[in-house]
Amino acid sequence: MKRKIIQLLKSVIFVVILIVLVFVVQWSFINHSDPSYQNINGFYDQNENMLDAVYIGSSNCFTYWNPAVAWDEYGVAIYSYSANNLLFESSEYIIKDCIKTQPGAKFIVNINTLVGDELEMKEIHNTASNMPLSLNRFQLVNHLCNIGNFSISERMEYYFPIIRFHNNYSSVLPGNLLYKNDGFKGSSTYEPYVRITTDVSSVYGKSNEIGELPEYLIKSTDSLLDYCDKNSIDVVFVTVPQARSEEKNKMFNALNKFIADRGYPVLNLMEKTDEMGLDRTCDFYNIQHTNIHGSIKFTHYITQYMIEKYGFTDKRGDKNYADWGGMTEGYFNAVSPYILDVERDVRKRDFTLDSPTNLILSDGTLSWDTVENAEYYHVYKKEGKTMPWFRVAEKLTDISYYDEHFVDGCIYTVVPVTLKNGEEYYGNFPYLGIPMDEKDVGNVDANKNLED
Amino acid sequence: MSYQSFAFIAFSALVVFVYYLFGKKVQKWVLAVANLVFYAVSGIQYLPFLAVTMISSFLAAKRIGLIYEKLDADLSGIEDMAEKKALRNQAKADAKKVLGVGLTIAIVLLAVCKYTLFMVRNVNGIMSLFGGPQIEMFKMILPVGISFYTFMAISYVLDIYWKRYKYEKKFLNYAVYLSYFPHIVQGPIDRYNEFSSQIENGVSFSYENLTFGAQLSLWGFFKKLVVADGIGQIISPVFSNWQTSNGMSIAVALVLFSIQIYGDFSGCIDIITGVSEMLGIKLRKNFNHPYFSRTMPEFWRRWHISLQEWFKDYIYYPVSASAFTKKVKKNLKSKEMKRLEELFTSCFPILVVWLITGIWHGASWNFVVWGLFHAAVLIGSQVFEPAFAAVNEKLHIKTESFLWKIWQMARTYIICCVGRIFFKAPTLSAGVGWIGRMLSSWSISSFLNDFGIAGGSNILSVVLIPAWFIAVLWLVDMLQEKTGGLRAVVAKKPLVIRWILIYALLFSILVFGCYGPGYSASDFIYEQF
Repeated sequence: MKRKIIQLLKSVIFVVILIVLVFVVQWSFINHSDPSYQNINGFYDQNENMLDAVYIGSSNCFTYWNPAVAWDEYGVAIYSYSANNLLFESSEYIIKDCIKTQPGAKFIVNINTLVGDELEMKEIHNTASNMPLSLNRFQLVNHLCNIGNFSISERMEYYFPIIRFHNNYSSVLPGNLLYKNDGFKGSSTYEPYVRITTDVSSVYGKSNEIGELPEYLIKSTDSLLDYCDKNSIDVVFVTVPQARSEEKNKMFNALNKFIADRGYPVLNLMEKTDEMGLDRTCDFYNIQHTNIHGSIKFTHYITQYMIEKYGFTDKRGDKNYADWGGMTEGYFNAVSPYILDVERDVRKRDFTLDSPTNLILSDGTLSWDTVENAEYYHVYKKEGKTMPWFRVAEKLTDISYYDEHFVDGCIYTVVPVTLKNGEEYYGNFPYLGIPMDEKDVGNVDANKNLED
Repeated sequence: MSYQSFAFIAFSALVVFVYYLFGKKVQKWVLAVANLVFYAVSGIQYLPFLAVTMISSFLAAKRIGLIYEKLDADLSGIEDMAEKKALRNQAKADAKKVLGVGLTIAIVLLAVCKYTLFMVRNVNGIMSLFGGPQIEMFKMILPVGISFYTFMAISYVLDIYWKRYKYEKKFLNYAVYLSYFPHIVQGPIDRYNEFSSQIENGVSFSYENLTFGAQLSLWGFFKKLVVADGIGQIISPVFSNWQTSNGMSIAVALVLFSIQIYGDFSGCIDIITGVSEMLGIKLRKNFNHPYFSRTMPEFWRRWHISLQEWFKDYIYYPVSASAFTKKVKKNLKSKEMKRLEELFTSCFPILVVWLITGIWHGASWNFVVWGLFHAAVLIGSQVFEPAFAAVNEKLHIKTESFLWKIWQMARTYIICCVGRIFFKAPTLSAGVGWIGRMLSSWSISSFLNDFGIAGGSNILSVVLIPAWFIAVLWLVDMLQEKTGGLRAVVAKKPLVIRWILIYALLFSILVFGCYGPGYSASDFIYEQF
């Protein structure tokens, strides 16, 4: 009998060690460099009950919402809990996870990413596989797999992501072993987002028509709203401005109405691009995502809305939020080759001032056409495409500038400035500067992209 | 249900649990239900075929057994020798008729299911030469495991006919044997008396059976998922694009294929043998480290042992003792052709066995050629054995030296690889095409491109990691060859060492195994037979 007990005990210990090792090894194969992992994993490193709000969404979240900008200008701590293809249908479970450590936080939920005709593998993995192990994560997987009508064998890879990712050993393991979260709290440094501008005005369309909601989406949304009602959770629902097909527009309109009818605030920002100052010719990097320039404007708009609605206070200087201060410094250093200092505060922008046209650089002399209503101009320079912008000349009243330190490879841009009550306000300007790299200018293929 | 699936692992675990939970008296019923579920999941439409073979072979053996029992009873009361002889002859004739019926049903079912389309294709081919009408091709049902369970049924009926043991009175016992889920799909081809004696009185729980069985299954998964499927990923593009593949690439792919098929087949056997061991039932050994063989005859005593022994017992010996063979032997003896008589005695049955072996492996001419190739090699080794021995002696070759053994193993391995041209090729013409390319186009740069390692890319995944695991496989096989039972040796090591080895094996499978989405389903190679 004693022998049997010892054998049983050994078996139990063996299995327990095995389970622990499986989950440790499994963690090693999730790509830690992926923004989805960085954003989600980084949330769980935040100090408890310190966030004003959590913004939940897919790439429509982390390419629109910029926590560094919100903190830098307003002292508001709103974390971007976002992942590529993170589905709206996951929101209830993500909120449940978030309130474990941030019980007082408000929520902003993006509704732009819904299950399409077929639930895709990445839509589950990008969210669930990056979340810490918990019963809630298990329930989220079940919920999404039920929507996709997945069989038991099809679900196994979501319960045990190592089934999907185990062959990543050569591509992912070395980076994962050196993993360190960038600490940007979801502020994106995604390369196309910082680098590319695309004119999406030709495909951007609005619709007021209301479509039909599929049954599973009604159930999912009802469940989410019931949960929020029951737990008194404040949520604002957002539809970000983006080019999309007529069918999708109708779907989002229907969902907006459904949520609004339940008494929750819905911001349909398709209507608000002018109010935000979003320029469809240059504030997007593709038809579905703003670039960093557009996201700064978007972030300001949302932050002001949230402050007005919930009375968030300015916590800059509060030593409990020292990590946020450090974060913004690090973030703006990282993106300094792509944005100018004058962009950071949208309250200091005057979008009625057009971008200077006919920018010409010749032997160190930069010239441009006059901008109506501009008092003067600031000239910015960077000494290489990935070098930081800095102001090289200011308050120029001429429409030309000679840089005696000009060398090949230097890039320039011009910002028109107007004065209101003695204070400077900055107009539009060419983000890419001159000489421009054509690879940084995106293309729009209306027929192809709108079907996605 | 594939043996490498999560479903099979869960199924086996459940069966093992229930098997011991309800005690010895119910164990046969547990197995019967498990066998039925397993087979039904594989394809419920196949059940009638299994049932027909099972019932007909059971009844045939029972009838034969009753004939012999009646004979024994009748003989005990008779003194007259002539009358006894007449009774015996009558009983034998009756038993033979029943045997004929029993075997015919099983063989006809196998032939119809497996070879009808082959026959139709050949008839159509002949008819097309003369502009004749074509028989329309149709989808033929091929029950899972039919090649294996038919042979088991045949062996049972013949064993009863040859009075090797008593016939089974209980249908349940026989049904459990024939449909036993670990061996029904790919063997080994067990014998009824060896199987039934293990389950006759039920099986007591044994911790050693459970752990040893689990370890063996784990090793099987390693061989299949890490070694065999890993190699499969590397070589399959070479074979599927053989028309443009370099000759050197095809040759190397064949060498690797021999490792793949060993890992695949013996891996599967280890998985199911391990599961069976957990149930306290030991199956026939099917592999004995065949690549350590020094000659081809030795190779075929170490590879797919249960099939070779089946052919030996039910084809080779009966053909050797057949009236035809005896007649030819007598003829040759009368002409004082002693050497020819000796060769005919051993070689003619070899030819018959290998012709059937080739056909058994597949309904395709390339398998027939494969079978004949090995027949030629085995016959050749018999014919030229004295000559080889004379040459070795003349050259003073130390045939037991280490280097000579290595040379023999390498030579045997290469002969296997050559034979596998027709085993692996999808058609006869493709096999000929492979030989043509191997003889005509050799280029190092094309070879590197074919395997995707030009410029040093993919060296880790294509060369280093597979080489490492092949080395592990070879090392373990060598240790097993030397120790005769590596699990027992490992069991004596300290707990920490044992657990490290098992965890290392588990995580090798978990990380490097070819499973999950992203890998195309790589079914066991021998499942197709």
